[in-house]
Amino acid sequence: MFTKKDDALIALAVKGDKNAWLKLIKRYESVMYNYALRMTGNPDDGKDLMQEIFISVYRNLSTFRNEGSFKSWIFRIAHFRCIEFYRRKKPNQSLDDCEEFESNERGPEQDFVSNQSNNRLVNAMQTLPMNQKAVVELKFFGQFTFDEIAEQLAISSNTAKSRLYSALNSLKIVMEEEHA
Amino acid sequence: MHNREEWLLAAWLENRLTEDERREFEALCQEDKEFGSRVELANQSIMLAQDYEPSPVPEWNREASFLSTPKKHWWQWQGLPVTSMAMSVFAMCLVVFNVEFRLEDSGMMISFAGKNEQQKLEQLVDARMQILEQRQAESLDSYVDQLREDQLVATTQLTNFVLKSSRTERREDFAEFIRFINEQRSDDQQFYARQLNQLQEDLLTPSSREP
Repeated sequence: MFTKKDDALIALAVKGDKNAWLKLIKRYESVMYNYALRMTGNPDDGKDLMQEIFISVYRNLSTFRNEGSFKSWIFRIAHFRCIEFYRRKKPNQSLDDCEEFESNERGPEQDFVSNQSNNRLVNAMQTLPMNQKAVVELKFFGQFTFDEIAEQLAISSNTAKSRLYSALNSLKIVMEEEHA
Repeated sequence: MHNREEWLLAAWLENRLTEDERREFEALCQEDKEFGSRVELANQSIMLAQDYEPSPVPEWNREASFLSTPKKHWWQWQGLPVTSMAMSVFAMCLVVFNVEFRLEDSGMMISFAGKNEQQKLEQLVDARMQILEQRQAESLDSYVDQLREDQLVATTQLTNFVLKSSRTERREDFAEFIRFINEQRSDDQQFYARQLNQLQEDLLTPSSREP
């Protein structure tokens, strides 16, 4: 039911219907904002990333071919924008490098983490390298299959499984430390 | 070994384990504490993700993401190059196959490979040939009449000439003959006169000489 409605809105938006585009945004902005928030760990960065994602989605809307779900497609774009955002923010850090909390400084990141204190997973995710964080995000929050994750991240399914396996190990350590 | 564990964990997360694999998975959870703790954490993560309270979306300028494209003019229409190409190919086909459109009283006629033109040409040639034949026949008749007339005149003239010339010749011949006869007679007269004179002389001379 949603797919049909999405298709109709996409077709209208491609033709330049502003209202259709705004309806699409309303439908996906919460999902995208929370994705961006979890990936950046910062409300301001999350908002910026969400805006970049929607601009990119609008620019590429005419290339959407209904071969998969719109949700998968939008997450694929979100992932590439997220990597760009990450590289811009931390140009010297690899996507496989672990994040480091700057616990001495209190900023928006800490506000978000403390706001989500009831969710230990989100807190622990912030320490993961970008590549592992993306798999955890798509698997547990996006509820995608490994094949879908592999397609979205442009990796193999085995690599996705391996990254999740490694991520669980890192998360276990962080969560045990937090618990202690 | 890690690959098998990763695969089992992934299959368990997607609920795709067969009975045998499930037994293997459960055995591994009990035997390998590290694997078991990973499975437990994965389970916790699923629940924590479900419990996650989505943060409200802050107010942002949604309309700024709508990059309105300027209204395109008709010559910027996306299908124009394709249409142009198609029209060019169509025009080339018309030229190559020599297609002709012809409006007639009964409707429009389309012909290929210049057949219509050829038919038209043949008709035109036939008509011209007929006119030419007619003209030639007329011209030939006229020529024959003229020739006959000329011949008649020439024959008449020739006859007249022949008659006239034969009369003159005959007259001349007769005159010549008469003149010849007259000359002959004159010569004969002279001859006879001379003979008579001679005879006279011969006759007269001896008597005179004899005393």
